[in-house]
Amino acid sequence: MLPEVWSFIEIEDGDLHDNARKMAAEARRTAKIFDAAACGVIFGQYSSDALEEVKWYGLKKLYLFQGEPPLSPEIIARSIHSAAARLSPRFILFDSNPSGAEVAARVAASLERGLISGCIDFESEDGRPLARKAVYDGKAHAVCSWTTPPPYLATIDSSALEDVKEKNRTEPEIIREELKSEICLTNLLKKWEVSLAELDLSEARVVIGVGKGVKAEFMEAINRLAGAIKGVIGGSRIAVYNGLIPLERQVGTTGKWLNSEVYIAIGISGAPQHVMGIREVKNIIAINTAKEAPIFRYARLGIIGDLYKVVPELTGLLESDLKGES
Amino acid sequence: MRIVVCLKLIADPDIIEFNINTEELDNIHLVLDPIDRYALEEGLALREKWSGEVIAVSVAPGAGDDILRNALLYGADRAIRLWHNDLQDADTWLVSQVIRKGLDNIGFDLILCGTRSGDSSSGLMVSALAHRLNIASVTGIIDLEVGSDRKLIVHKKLPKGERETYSLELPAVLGIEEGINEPRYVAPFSKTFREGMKREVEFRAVIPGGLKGKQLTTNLRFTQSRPRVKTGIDISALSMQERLKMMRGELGREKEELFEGPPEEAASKILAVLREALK
Repeated sequence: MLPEVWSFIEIEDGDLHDNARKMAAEARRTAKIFDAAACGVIFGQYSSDALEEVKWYGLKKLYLFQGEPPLSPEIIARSIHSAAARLSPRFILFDSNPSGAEVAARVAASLERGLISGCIDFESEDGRPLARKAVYDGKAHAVCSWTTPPPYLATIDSSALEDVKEKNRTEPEIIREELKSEICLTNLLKKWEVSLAELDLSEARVVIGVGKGVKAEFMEAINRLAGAIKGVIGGSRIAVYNGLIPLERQVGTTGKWLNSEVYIAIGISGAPQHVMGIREVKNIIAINTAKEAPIFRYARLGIIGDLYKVVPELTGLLESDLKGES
Repeated sequence: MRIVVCLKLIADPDIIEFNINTEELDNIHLVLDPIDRYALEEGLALREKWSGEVIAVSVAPGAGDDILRNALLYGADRAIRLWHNDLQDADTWLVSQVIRKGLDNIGFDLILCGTRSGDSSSGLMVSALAHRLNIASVTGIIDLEVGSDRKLIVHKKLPKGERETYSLELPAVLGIEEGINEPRYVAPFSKTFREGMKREVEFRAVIPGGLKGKQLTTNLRFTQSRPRVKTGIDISALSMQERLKMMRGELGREKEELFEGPPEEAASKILAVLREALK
């Protein structure tokens, strides 16, 4: 029987989210490197859609722990601990996000097994598993190994993860496991979201950036756009000088570093110190009248045009879109 | 309330460099791990509110005295350095054992650490300590309140503005997240500073016996940082420019598009991108 690679696949509101799919793919990838069987570990309440989708990742087994969410990292870790102590998988992989990291650390401590955090890649050296991870904010990488017997625990850095589906759907063996929720020292009371008004720029999913090209009287329209798109308003240094936004909303080297899905740069030319702050943004959309504005070099979509016309038009579309949905 | 704050001495991540020729780390300048300043501040703030004592603890060679002395100048009541020469390459698990032993005759209500360190960022310390001491723990704390009856309410920071609220009882270990507070500035020769100057850093040698062979992981070597090669990318077929993009992790991004035309069309183009990005 092949040794098993377990991957902790996080379910949110019953569905498989981006990182969950990537973690399923990661199980398959690691299993290939070490000639093992990829398995998924799923907690909480999952929709049948989520279970169908996970079948595209070549998993041999799915360990299902059913329970009423929210489940605390402590309950999840205790449950994984008890299953792993019994079934001795070769690897247990986690996402490196705050929840995954805490569950991983708890399981590692209670099993007294090595945990290597923020792994970029794995390799096999004469049968010995090695992990490469970033140290000192990515200034260098360290090649590490486990000095304990399996299971080898690891969290995977999000930059390394990718969503790779297999060509064919496979039917994993479903194994139901029990939750261990007794004798807990922590009690997860609730999960909630910070309101948009208080949300820090570095945490926002959507950020609207205003710059020199935006007049103070136009901020009302920008606010309306932010409301329609559920975004947070930030901007360049000049926008702070012009009093459009407070200092803590400045984006760039001397301000906030974004990590959002979307950044809409409105009337921003794209000075280097501003661009540094939006390096990690996945989708940059720029609206500017000047064709040669450097911001367009970084934008996925560049609109050469009058922001005073495009913004109200976009707000209108978004608002009618919202109405259509409800 | 007796609060223990764990401080880590690390090489300054801002200036450390990987030397490609020697394959070792250069420009090592030891500093207090930046995230630990938030843990220390939280400890000091809690003491001001609930009275008690703040004890700074560090597992470090002689150079660690500097950061501990600073903790005293910032207002810590005691500072204790734990060390043995065999601990040079100790991993988090072993260090947590040293801290547990070091706290043996001290007693505490609350232990505060940075959620993850600025050098190896293993993120294991909080859970390791909690496991060894058999007490409650939560990491990623962005807000905390001490209630009556030794109850704590803590908020854990998750990505994209999400939070989780936990309740737990003291004694506990908490992993503090950056941004939970504004670490204070203590002016030289202010009252706090002068009182701190009178205090000495205590040193405790930890008995090495029983500590050896207790590592769970080992660090074999350092290499230049390079991202994982993603599926379906043939490096030999890439141009120099594409390779540079890969190094920066930008390869495989969506194609860039420039659009010039009527505002209605521009708006619907933006909407299409938004829909895809936020699906």
